[in-house]
Amino acid sequence: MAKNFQVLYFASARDATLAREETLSIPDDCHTLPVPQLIRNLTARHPGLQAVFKSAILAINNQYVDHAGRELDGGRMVEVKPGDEVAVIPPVSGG
Amino acid sequence: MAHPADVLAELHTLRAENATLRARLASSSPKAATAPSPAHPPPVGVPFTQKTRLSNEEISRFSRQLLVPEIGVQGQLKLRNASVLVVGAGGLGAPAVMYLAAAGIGRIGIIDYDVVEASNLQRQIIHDESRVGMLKSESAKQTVSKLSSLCECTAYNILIDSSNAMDVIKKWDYVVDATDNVATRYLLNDCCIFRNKPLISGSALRMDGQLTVYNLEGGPCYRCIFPKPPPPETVTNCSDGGVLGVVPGIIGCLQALEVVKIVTGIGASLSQKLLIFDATTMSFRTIRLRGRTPSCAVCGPHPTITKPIDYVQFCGAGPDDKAHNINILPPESRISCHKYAALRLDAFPHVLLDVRDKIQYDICSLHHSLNIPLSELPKRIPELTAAATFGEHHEPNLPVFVVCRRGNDSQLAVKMLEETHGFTHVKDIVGGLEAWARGRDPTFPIY
Repeated sequence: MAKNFQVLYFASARDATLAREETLSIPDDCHTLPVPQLIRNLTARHPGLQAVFKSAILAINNQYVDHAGRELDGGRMVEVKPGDEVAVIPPVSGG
Repeated sequence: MAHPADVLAELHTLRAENATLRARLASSSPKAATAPSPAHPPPVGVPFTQKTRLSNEEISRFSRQLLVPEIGVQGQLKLRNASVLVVGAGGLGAPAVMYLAAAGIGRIGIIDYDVVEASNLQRQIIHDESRVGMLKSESAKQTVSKLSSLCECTAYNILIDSSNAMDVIKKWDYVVDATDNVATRYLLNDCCIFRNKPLISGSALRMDGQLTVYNLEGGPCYRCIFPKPPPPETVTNCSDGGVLGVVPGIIGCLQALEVVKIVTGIGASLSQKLLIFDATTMSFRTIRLRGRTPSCAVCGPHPTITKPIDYVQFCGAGPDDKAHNINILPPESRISCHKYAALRLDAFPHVLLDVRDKIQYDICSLHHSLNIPLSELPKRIPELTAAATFGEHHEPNLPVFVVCRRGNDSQLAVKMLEETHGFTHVKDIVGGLEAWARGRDPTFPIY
């Protein structure tokens, strides 16, 4: 069974990936994907994301997680599950 | 057409009404009678008289808002007694200021040091054609004065920075971040923490917008969410990346709405939430953010930053959205647009390489130029080699002149061609197509 999740790219993350969204899979040998591993995978896939991740935030299912995978106030650790929607959100500064 | 007798009768009625109003004005409190005209507000710092009742004029003017149960008289009085500082009279600030003034905010401050340019008018609707060349802060203030004589508006023609931000911000209840650059965003964030002011922060670029409220009801600050500034090379500004005018317009309107809601205490604000607007799919997405970061350098319990710092150094970029000229080539690798024009007139054999993105190339270009965007140059070297190889030769034997919009990317391209790809006769055209348009060909467009 495919263990897919969706990744959405915003603002400069779109420039770095030339994609608005893509569907990726959690590796066969694990049930979930830790956030640091997710960042490594995305950066390997799109080297341009390395600079973007210096300031971009991540959200899983519209909920902020830090780059270590801690949700909200540094509490619960979360990992990417099948069916999740991950958003890569760099700050926009224009106006 | 009205009958002359009707007109005379109406004139009579209006005169009588006028006299009554004048009499009422003269007999009202001396304070009200000597209130400064809104066109000449008192210097900031002079106490703003708080009101506890709405005048008849205010009741008529704001009737549609007074009828909204969430606002009512008490809400309108709160708006009247509030002061809001809007930093930036650009794409975000323009609608934000206009809606705040229209909504009845009592005092509005506008900070901007720039002047109105024609290229602003596609989104900065507080200015108009007659204001091109005028200070933006002054132009915005004039629009507010025309819109509402009830709003006391102060224009600050200053570049807000570490030396003045603390003084300016302390005089206002709320701060709207309508700026266009990273350095000023961190400056405003830090000063709003130091002065304990809510910061209503919006941003927009191309088809994307973001909106959030910092430092409200224990919510996070900008640094809690974005502790490190983005690397300058990942930051695109409106003058390079473009922006669809109505996108900052929508975010600026939402900023005004958030201010009105926060002042009047309506509903839930965007504190601890980030609204992301994607105009291409017309989708609004709200991300639930974290609360304050305990280790935050500014708002945490053990702050390491307790006064404004050098934000240009911190961000590696200046407090504006202008492109800055680089100068990385020796003079022998450069040619002025005048000398290059002379070569063209002589039909001197060469290749003109234009390294702008296609979207810019499509706006305007010089005849017989080869367009290879800088980002694609490494993998499209064979095309350039072919174009620059003439006759029986197998190596490039024609000189290559490189041009771009302003003469920065062309220098990077020359450096790359010389150092990585072995080109020897390659020069950049100083100042790019803008210099060409200004110095050589006034019919060539500037964008």
